[in-house]
Amino acid sequence: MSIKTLNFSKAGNRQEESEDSLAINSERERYSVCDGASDSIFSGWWASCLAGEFVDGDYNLDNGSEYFQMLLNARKKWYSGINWNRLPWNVKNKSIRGSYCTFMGVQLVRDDSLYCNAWAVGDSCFFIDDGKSLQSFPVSSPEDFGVHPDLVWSGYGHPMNERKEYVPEYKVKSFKSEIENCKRIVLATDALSKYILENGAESIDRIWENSSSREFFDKLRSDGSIKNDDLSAIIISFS
Amino acid sequence: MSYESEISRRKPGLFIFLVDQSRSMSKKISGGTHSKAQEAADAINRQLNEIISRCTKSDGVRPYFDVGVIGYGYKSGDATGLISDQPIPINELESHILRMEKKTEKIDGEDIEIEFPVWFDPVASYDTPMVKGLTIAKQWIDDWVQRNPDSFPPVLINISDGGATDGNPKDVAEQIMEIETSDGKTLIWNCHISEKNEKSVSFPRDESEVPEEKHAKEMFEMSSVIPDSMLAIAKEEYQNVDTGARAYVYNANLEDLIRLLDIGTRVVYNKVK
Repeated sequence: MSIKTLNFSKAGNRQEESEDSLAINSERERYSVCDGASDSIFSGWWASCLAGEFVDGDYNLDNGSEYFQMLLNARKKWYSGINWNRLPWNVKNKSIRGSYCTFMGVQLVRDDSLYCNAWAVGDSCFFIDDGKSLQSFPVSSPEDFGVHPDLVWSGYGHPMNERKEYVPEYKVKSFKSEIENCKRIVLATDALSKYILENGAESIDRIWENSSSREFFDKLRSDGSIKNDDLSAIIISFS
Repeated sequence: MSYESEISRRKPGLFIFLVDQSRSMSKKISGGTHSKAQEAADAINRQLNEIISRCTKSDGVRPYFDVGVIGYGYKSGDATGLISDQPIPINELESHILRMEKKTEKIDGEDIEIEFPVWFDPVASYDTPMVKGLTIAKQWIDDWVQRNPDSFPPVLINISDGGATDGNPKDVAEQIMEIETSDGKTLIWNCHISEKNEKSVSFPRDESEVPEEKHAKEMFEMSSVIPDSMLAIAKEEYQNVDTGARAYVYNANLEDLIRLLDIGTRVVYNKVK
């Protein structure tokens, strides 16, 4: 099994401005990509907290209370990572409303065969390529990528957090499959997922081969093949 | 001519706000508790704050927009830039703050005190030299479009309570509406605010929908037709908006003023990438 990752900021932005985050825990065989919403602030940090919390925990997200516990732990990390008392007025005013991101988490399960559990909020996608067909979850058609996907909220920032309790919503979609004979699986944020759905499994070969080449993805963005957005993916090859 | 260009640091947008500072602006606005001058200044200061908020990331304010504010009537026959003498990038606006005020904002039912910047104070002094104000705006827009030929077209929002006292503003407004980038022509939004508690006329399609008053007709003619790509957002606030509608509200009360500013700016925010 070999793994490649990529995370490129949108064209015109510095790499550190990417609001996508990806996390891997090889020992636990848990993988996650999260896409921070550009409308909110500290959303890249929130995406990183959430992806990290998923892969480093044992959460079964079919269980609502485990999902809420994951969010509470991720929120604690998000909140404590911001120096609320030293924010400039404009950052402070915006951060009161909290941060948002999409979520995709995958757990591999080895039993009598190899299985995967995938959980999603929003339009970051999971693909299974068995060499004959390409399955995708939760979005199955390029036309279904909307402007307003479901998002995971961090809860309020300071000082609203002192007035209102954090009550997360359970909007998780889940997917399970045997992947024993599968060629590879992919977790990707929306722009790259749309490209894969439009271009089929062969496009994953191209992504794999060019995973370290920003120029390759910049060209796809400049010729309109991919929209100008942050791009990130985890590709796990079993061959 | 699509009004579809994305807005980025490489291709910023431009907002210019024009505000009437004539004596009659001292009268209380319909639907509000303060003078028209106060409410117009508050509304523009709020919008500048909103533009900054839209451009704020954890590492600071990104220069997605240039902004400028022009006041006309602070002294007889004259107009001037109220924050700067030409449009400035939004990330430079902070160094032009007049003062910070504490205001209460309702978030999820809770009153939260936030710091709110004020860039300029209300003035209600003399006459209505709208032509002079528009002439300055035209110069700003001309210069800006030369530097940003492929950007989303400039948006000019004019708030006034009456007709120009220094000539017919239609001529210079028409010249402004002809200034274009590769993505479309400059858009002019007009808000005629009133102290009278009369029904407002919002986004008319035809001149016959506005009252038989000279300046009401003038402002209709100097308002852009709302591009089709922006109609959906206007429709969220005003159900009667249809293809061919002009970016114009006549006899606006306080609520209309706030909604027009919101629509005129929100249609552009959506283009930020």
